[in-house]
Amino acid sequence: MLAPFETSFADALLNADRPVPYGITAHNAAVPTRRFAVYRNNVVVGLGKALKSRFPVVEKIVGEEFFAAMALVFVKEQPPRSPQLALMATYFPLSSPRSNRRVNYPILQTWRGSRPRAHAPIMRPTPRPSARATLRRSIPMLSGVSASVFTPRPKSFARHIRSSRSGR
Amino acid sequence: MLLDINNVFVSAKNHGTQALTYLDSFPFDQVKEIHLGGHDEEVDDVGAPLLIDTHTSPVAEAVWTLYAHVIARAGALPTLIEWDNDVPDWPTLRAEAVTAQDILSDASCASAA
Repeated sequence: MLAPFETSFADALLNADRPVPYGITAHNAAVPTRRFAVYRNNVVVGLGKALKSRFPVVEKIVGEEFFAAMALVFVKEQPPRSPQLALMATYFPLSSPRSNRRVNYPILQTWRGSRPRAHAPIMRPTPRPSARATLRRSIPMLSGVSASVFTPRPKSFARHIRSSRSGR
Repeated sequence: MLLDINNVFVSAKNHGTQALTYLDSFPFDQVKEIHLGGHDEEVDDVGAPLLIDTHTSPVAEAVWTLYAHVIARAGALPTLIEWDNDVPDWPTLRAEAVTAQDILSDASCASAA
């Protein structure tokens, strides 16, 4: 069981609205909020990158910007439970109730692959040219999905991502 | 052991210590590889510079100076320029490698003389 300090530290790492954990100081500040923000950013961006390397196809489908926003939400809601990041996010994408409430994107649940679904696959085989064009043809809803389902959140997410890209 | 000189510089600056002092007591005989890279500068809670080890820009002048200092003491060592994001065009990256090579060559000439 984690000691109270570790618990509050881990909690503050993933929740920007939490205060800097008691006991964290810098040589020139008793409560180093900005410094801790760099640390926070390292953790979240690093986990987002790990997720990206695990789900390259999902990223191609939803686009870099949306994937980054989705990853940001996911890693905070379901941080890795194993030190092996290769095992991270077994239930990604979008299996958590909170994420599903935010983004109703059934195609991703179908592709999740790790758990069988009761309904028939949404995707059906069609010839190339590209995965994205193929999907647009076979699933009409997808062509308009970025406009209808994701706004207005993606823009604010994107701003957040851009503003939090710097640290590592 | 791998010695990341940009990281030493960034950490020393952020903690208010001297990178040169840290390096002067470093066991160079154990170092087999050196990393260099660029960093960004932001400000901390009291408005002081806060360096972020981003690998998104050219190696800073101060880091080149530290590198030359290390190579002069430790001899030529395999060196890697880290540039992971906002990767520049080839001439820019090559210029970084040439700068490192010049410093390595100077050290080799000095030790041969």
